[in-house]
Amino acid sequence: MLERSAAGGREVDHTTGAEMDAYVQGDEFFNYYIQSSFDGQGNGVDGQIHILDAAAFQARWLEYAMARINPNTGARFTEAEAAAFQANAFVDGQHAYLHVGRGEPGTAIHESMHLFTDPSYLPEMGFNINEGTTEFFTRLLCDRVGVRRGNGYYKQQRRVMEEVVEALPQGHNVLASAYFDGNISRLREAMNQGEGNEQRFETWKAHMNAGNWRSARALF
Amino acid sequence: MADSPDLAALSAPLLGLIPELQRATAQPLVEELLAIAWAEAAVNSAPQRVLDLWVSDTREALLDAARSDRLSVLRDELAQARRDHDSKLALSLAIARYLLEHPGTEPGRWASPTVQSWQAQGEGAIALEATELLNQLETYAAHLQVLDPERAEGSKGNLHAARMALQSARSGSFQSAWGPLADFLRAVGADFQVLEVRFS
Repeated sequence: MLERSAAGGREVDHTTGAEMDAYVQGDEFFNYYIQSSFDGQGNGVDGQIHILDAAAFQARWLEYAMARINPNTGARFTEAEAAAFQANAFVDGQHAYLHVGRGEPGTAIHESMHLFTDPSYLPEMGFNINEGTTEFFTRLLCDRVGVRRGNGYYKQQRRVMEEVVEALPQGHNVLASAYFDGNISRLREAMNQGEGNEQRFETWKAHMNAGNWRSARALF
Repeated sequence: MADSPDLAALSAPLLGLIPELQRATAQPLVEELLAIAWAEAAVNSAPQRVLDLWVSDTREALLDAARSDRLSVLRDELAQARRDHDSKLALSLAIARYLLEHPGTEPGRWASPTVQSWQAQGEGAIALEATELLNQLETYAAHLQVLDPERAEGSKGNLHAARMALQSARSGSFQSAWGPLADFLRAVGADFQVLEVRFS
């Protein structure tokens, strides 16, 4: 669904949900893992990615944030506090709302990846592994379809995931199976294979959860 | 904790990549970077391997740059190391504050020595440190936005996760969270909402 209108200022050429669906379905690797997320009419994230002009984004964001607690105060966000956030996007349920003037064309691809992720992946693996994996697959798809993607997004987390994929046999497939299908046990088994590696998965996960990137990489 | 390595010996090959006239300026930067590296390596079961990764990453970054740009690259590497270090501290402060306010919690592996140390210092000390780190974080974010907007854009997600953890550490409010703090709250069964804000 495209909800885009010019509102002055910079306007990012965001990838739409329909474009994302076409990219995924046109790629053998991604289509294999994501196909089951598409409905009977061939829709994946089309209808779930909303690109809003500044005013519409602000209105939706304020409605979302002001119903929630500000950790800085322990009270509901005031309008001024919520407005100060300057987020590129936010997610409400199965819908991602993107500001038309923030982020870059790869932003919608990153957010779409999150929507395609198996719901067990984040709670099981944690924020850093989830973001690192999301950015890893975002860059893979961006490279294949020619969408520019900045190098800095979750760079440290992504680097760890790149080294995991390199180190494990069938690394791309093992990671994709965990991320898109929730087959985390296969990732655990792959990491724990070999003498002395019996606890590698849990140790790696703990380092990642704590933000110890080199300690996580040192295990491979 | 492992014995401290000879950081001067480790810094020599990195300093050798910096133009001679800038080495005196670079030396304290390299030493601080290696001290941060050692803080992570010392509590790892393979400290040398972790330290080697820090050194090789820094060496790689310096070699990727023109010789005349390497001091600037070294400053960027140190700034990133400081932010990563502060992000970890932000999480520890928030966890320590949560555990003080919820004494029946079973934190498991989340109760690191740093967390325990801050628990022992109490809520006032945690709030003070969180305020100081928040001020540093905001100053850094503002500078980065001016100096290197592309890097600032890429850093927003991790910086915001640290910001929210520090806000919780200061206020004692854990009803909403995002980032690694949400992992901890989920692990201990806390009742909270994830604020699904995105900076990708």
